[in-house]
Amino acid sequence: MEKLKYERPVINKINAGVTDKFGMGHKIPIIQELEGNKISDLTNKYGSPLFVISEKKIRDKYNTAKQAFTTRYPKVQFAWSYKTNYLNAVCKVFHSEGSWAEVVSGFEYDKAIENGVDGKNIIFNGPDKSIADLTKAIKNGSYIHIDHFDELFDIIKLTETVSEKPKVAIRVNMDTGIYPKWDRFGFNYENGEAWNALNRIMLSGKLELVGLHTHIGTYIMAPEAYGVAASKLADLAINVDKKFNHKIKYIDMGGGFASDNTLKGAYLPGKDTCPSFDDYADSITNALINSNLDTQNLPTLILETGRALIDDAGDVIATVLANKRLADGRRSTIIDIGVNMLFTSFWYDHEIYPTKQTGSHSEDTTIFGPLCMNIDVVRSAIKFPLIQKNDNVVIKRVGAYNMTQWMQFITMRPKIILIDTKGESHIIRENETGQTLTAMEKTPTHLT
Amino acid sequence: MNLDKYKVKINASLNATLRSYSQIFFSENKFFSILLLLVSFIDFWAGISGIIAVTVCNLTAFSMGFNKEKIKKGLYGYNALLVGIGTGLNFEPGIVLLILIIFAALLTLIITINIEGILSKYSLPFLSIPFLFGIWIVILASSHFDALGLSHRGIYTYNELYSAGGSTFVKIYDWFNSIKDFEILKIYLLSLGAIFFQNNLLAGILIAIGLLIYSRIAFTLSITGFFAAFYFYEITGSDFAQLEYTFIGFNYILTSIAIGGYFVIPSAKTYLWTLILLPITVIITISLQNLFLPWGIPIYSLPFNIVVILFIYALRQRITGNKHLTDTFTKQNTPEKTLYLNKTYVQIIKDKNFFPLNLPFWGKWTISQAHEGEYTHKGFWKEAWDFIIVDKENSQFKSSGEKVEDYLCYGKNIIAPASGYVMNINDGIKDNKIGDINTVQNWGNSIVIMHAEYLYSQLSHLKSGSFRVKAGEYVQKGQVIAEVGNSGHSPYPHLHFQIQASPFVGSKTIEYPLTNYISENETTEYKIFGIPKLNDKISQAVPHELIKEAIHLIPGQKISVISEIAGKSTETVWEVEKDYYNQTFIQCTETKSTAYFYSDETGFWFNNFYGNKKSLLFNFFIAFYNVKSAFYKDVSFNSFIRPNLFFNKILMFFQDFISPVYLFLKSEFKIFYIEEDADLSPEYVILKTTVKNSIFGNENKLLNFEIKILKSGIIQIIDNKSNKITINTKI
Repeated sequence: MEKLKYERPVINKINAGVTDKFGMGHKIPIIQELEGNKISDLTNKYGSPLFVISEKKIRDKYNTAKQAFTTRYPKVQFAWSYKTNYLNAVCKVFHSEGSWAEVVSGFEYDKAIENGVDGKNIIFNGPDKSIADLTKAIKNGSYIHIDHFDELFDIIKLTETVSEKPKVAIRVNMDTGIYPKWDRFGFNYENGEAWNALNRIMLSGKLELVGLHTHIGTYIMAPEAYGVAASKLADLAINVDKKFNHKIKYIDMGGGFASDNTLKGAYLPGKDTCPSFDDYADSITNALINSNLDTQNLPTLILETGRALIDDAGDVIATVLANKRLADGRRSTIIDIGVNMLFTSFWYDHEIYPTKQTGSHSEDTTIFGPLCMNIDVVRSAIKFPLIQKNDNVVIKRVGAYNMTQWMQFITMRPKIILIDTKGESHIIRENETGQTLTAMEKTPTHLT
Repeated sequence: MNLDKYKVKINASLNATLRSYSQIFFSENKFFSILLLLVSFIDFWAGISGIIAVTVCNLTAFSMGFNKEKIKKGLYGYNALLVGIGTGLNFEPGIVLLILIIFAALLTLIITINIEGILSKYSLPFLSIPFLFGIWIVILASSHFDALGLSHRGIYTYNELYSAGGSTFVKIYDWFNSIKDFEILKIYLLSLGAIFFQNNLLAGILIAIGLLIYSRIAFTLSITGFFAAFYFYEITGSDFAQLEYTFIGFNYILTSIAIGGYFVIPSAKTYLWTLILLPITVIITISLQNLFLPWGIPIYSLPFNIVVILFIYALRQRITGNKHLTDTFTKQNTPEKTLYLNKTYVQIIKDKNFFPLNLPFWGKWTISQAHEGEYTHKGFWKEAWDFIIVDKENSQFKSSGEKVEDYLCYGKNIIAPASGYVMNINDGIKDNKIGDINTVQNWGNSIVIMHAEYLYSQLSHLKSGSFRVKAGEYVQKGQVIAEVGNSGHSPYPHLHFQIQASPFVGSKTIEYPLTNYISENETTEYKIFGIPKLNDKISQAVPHELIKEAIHLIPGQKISVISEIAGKSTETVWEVEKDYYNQTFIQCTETKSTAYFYSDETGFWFNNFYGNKKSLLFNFFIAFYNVKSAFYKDVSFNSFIRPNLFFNKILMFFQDFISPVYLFLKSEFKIFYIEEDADLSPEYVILKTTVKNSIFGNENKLLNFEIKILKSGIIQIIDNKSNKITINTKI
């Protein structure tokens, strides 16, 4: 008979009062494999920590989102938000599904071009576009979403030197009844700035106004807000048509759809409370269809959803470095991935799962990262089973933003692998080594 | 007034006069007309009378301002012509006769206009009814015209033969008479001649030759019809001799041509109907003869008129089945041309026959039950569809599928498949739990929309309270009308869609195709019209902006054409026009070649070409024959081009004979959608088209074209000899 696994003793306070509404059970599920690959096999092969992206989950999620919109609206186009995750492999999966690219910098723009995206299928957003970037975008026929008047003037000026007619849209910010109002990007709707900008574009005669864009915020839990935004954009489109007899080709509703992650401080888990793609689609498409837009000639609906499409597809495997009891008696576990790699743990209570069968007991645990910094807390409090050093854990839904916002600090950035639809794993980004970093450093001669 | 104007007028009058002759056989063939004109002069006075009558009639019609096109086609003249010849033969030649004929012709014209006015309300032809009235009136009145003597011509055959062709004719005539085997053929020829009141074989032979040259189908029909009638006489034992002496046989010939090939598109079925209708014509003829006996007037072509009008009117009252015995909507000058053109129409412009009904939803849906489905689409309701939405794993629900909300199609907007009036709405029926069915309110919440007479669409099992329209309201195509639910006989949410001929919820279904959609099953296909099958994934085809722009041609506009053929560059101008019947066409200003087309948002179809087949317009015609405006990469489809555009006259002569049954000469047009500029304001689209000619399935000639459609309506065509034509449709 196999030797039973040692479990340290636990003392739990008995709550004699009213039971909470979720009952008493705290059996934590375990994750033993990702897309058919055993966790232990993956860590043996690629080391720990390890980011794992599932191609199947990306494609499934994309198709769910696409279906939610295309069954409600005749013309729909997705544009992959590069900043959410611009790993080439990830971008290419989206592009292969027909997604365009939505970029917010010259660097991202070039990356999209390198990924084989036709310049005409790139949406160029953001407040920072250099003259060189704009020139390139105009020449490639990309859609430039103008953020401020200075940019508009730049583009009008550029028409003197660039022969191609720039294709532009404006970004509009507005009150959709939610807080916070993102008013730092684009032109405001309520105070007439957006209408002013549209007039200037149309009257200049030098730009081709193709679309209207808004991005009302991020992790929006209220789909109705999108409905309000969509009808305001529709109104602008109708007014442009009325005044200038010019049809807007697309309405870009941006992104900001919530993923199933749970925000810090939320009472219920995100899985249960976040709206589905159907909810967002319902709200947006109904607003457009019920607007005064000609139903026989509706503009294309563009969506720049990032987070909601990729979050689920990324997991990270980490290893327990140590268990330790804090001074106040709380248990704590230190794992080998910290907030520098897992940026989103500042916002989310990430779900963390053990990878081996554990006993039925669990304990309130704080999960720390490996950094020698006090803020390196992955979860401040989680009911967690009693796991031991060298055991693996899986942190769910880390596909969005982590792999673009992570920073090299104290530790090196690990490998990222993609598990394809057949279950085969491929390295899509190598781990950093000391070499990677020192290669860029230069030591003045007097110090050598 | 200049000379040209007179020329035009004289030309028109000549045309009108000539065509009045051939119009008796529903033909506008010039050679046939001249032949018939000669035949009428076999009896000189009859010929003179005829030409006077028709000239008087047409000139009067022109000067009074009746429809010029109709006069030019000879439609107003042929009745007067017949009255003229008939009168001319009945009476002794002389001035009095000529005066009588002028008045008879005018009378016939007035009768023609009146009868047309009455019958055209029912879209029926007036055939030779005006002639019947005209000649009857003249004959009944003539007994009081003492100055007129009755003619004895037509009785002394030998005399006439001799005067027309000397002893040779007499010999031929005797030889014919001597061979008993040819009796039936003789009667056939005499009957043909009798159409021009000629009781001689020469007339018959000439007319038969003319008929054969004019149309092979009309010729075979004339024989089919005549023999059908002849043998019916034989079987019933009626007095066959009547046929020979009383100018009756032509009724059978004309009825056969009219029903078998002129008013109905010729096919094996029309030949069959000819065989059915001719015995009926015989019965009608005999009974009418008995009826008319006391009045002493011949029945002439009365049986033909009665049968044709009865049958055509009856045909047009059909609700379904127009696929068989189809009306000829665009009559060409020969039955075979009508047949070929109709085959073009049937394949290309089906919406002339079918009202375009689009899919009632957005996005890609799957057929979970098609026509004659295994669950409920049976009996009266067998021509219906059930639609659901499935995900990548072919599951129609997410999570557990225990709630209606889990189903992907639930709550999705339903749009009007075409514009029309909302006739009926049933609302207020609760959704079923999954797996449950409501057999009491079988159809659940439903809506019926009327799109045209006898064309209604019904959408069922909708969500209670989701209707955005009311009964009696007019809805536009694509307007949101309700949401998918799970009410009625619906164990899980789905959309039930059916086409029916009456406005009630749950009416009997009719088979009717849906239009303009992409169907994915084993292959991806573009359907202009189609009936979706089980498990097809279908979505509406969206027109491509550039193609839509290029094919939007407005009558009155000009098109500039630059061609680079064998290194030589030339410039031409085409004009877009529309004719009297609102049919649009492109005409080359130089060659005067004309290509008829039809276009709307969904596509462009050329349907006919007249003129120079070496012209650029003909190249454009075949390269751009049928272009659908929806672009779906790698999709392709075929269409039929009528063979008489490509094959020579000798081959076509043989093809014509069997054309109602089988085409051994085939021209097939195929279009491939190659590449598009993936952009919201695209710059170009590339298509490839081919035209393949084959004889008995063996390839005879293959033409390839690469077509590039650019912004602002520019179409570039490059053929396999790298000749290039650039067509600018927006100048």
